Amino acid sequence: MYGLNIQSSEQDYVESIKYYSGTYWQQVEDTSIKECFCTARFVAFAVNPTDLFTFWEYDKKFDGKLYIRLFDVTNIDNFFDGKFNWYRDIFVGAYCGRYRINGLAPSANFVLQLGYFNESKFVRLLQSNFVRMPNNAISTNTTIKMATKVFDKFEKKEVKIEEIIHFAFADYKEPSQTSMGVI
Amino acid sequence: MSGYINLVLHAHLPFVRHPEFEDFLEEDWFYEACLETYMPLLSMFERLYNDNVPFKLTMSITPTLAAMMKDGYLMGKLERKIYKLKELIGKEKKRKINTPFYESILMYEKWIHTNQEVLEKYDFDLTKGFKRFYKSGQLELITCNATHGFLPFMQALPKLVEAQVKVGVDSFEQTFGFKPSGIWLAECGYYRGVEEILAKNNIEYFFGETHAIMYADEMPKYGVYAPMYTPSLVSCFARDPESSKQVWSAKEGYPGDFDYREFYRDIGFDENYDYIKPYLHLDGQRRFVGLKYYRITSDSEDLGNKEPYNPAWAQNKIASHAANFLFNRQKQFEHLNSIMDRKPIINAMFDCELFGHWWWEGISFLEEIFRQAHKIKDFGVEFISAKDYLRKFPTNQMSNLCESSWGYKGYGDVWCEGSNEWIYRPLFEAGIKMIEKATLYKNTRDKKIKRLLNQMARELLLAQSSDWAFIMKTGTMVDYAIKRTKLHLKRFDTLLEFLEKQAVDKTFLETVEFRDKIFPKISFKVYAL
Repeated sequence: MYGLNIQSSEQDYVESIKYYSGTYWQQVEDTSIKECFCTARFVAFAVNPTDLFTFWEYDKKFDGKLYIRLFDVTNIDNFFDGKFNWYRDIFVGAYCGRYRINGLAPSANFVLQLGYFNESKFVRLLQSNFVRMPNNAISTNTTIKMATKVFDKFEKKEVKIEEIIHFAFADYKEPSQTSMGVI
Repeated sequence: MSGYINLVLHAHLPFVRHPEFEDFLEEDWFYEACLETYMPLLSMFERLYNDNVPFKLTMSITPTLAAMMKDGYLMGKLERKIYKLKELIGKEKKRKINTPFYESILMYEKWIHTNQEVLEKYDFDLTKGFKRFYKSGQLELITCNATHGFLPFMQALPKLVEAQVKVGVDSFEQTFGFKPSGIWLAECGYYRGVEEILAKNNIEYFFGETHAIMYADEMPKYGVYAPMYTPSLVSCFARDPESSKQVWSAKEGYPGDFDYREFYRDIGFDENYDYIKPYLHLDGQRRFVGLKYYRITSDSEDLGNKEPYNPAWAQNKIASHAANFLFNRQKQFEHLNSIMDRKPIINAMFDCELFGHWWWEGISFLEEIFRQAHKIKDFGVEFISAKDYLRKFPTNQMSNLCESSWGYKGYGDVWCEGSNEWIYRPLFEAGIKMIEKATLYKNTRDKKIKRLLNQMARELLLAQSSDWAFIMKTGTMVDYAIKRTKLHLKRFDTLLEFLEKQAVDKTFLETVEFRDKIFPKISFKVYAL
């Protein structure tokens, strides 16, 4: 039924198989999987500080041209009230696909919408999750917090968190500068 | 001048177990790693223990690897491998007497004999060996997320991350008999927020890539030479790039020394075909059999220009490289002591299989480090675990850390690029369905439905393994990685169809349970909302 060569007992089954050879493995079981699922979906995640990967599917038949609108929502708390820093449109065409958006700013926040243009007005069909891009540099913020956690055998509890101003590891050196070579 | 070294070995292999085939090529990954890394490590622990040499290191043994280490079927086949190798070494000993390779053959004879002893000593379950040294205090054991899934790419569905972590923690406890205090996030894949899930599972600390701390939202007070608390008070210990590079790098690091054994020249290719054929796979193709008689010799990649391996020369190099490693840590400590108000900790983190498997002399190198650090106190080196360090230094900086991994370029590029990005949509859909069905049936008492859902959970977890995307990217054994991803997703879909139609093909279910026999006590409810 499923392309499986099934025997009732493990030992019989093991013995019934002749041996492995490259293509045999590929013939054993159906491994076709779907690329589209007839389900509305729009998901994005950061791949690195400047690149974001997204996949989407609009679940209804759609003949128009589809675009992704990428909103920069860094430090924006009220995106749903129409606030954002900037946006840019990317033509994607297919109702179901995947795309990598390059050249974004590290540490920035983004949200994406899938939609089409109706008389030059963008009509949203789907919206993605929010994405925070990773940092890519040492912070210049030297106001740091120190926390103390008390551990004992049976429980652990937090004790205090204090804030220290301008007390950072400013003398950090790149690794190659700290070692003195060979004996 | 002094400081701590936190030596961490990440032991991982994807779950590769194919009882449906008499002979399966990719199972060799496990047998080779056992024979060249895990069992020699246990022998090394034994020697140090018997010689009263203090040592301390941390090992993350992933749930997939632990499952294989105690699997009767795989360990039985490992024993057969040992017998075959013993037979081959016996023949080689007679054939190559009075040749420059004889010393190497004696080395292999001792190696295979010791491995056999280890296998028998721990009753065909290597996890027992590691547990023994945990109990005696020299080895800190930690877990990993269940099937080594790359967690940053699952963050849109936190339930998937929760399941990876919870199954990893539970499975560790079932294997080793205690709860892990630390975790190795697969590929050091950290994203902001995962610490909340770790905290829920009573995890105190995890290991991260250098810039998890260096690129935190506030400047790191101690660089990577002290842990950093996340807002959930789970600590991150980040990789020291300097100590890693000395060991990791094939070109600049120790493993590339010309006196060390050449990995790529093996008698599986060198010997007469009819002679070597009984030791190859049943398809008869020439492959490595594990006996290698040449040293790296030079920068040349021409394997024909290699010279015979000399175990004594290699042993001398191990001693000087171990001394060099400790000397450089001493110099690092001198620098760090001048700018830090506490003893620094150097997190020297490595893939466990580097030692022994890729770098044949690597296990002896580790042993020599412990012996020299004990003998020569001037190095000022103490070995410590993350857990013990936190108890000595409970006050640490707290910040939001940087999303990162230890893969090429330091983020997620390895696991999401042209060759493998197609996997994320079907994995996401399977994840959504798993959560949906687990939530729907979380109170069911129907044993058949529970069994179906538990197997669906196993299939999803196995499909999520970061190894498949990694292999697709690196370009060797790609067909296998693609098949494994598709196979588990397809099995998941088939089981889902049974569930939705309320009609189970029992034979199919039994077959996939037999094939993907991992996490026997899993509960699908880890996915329920």
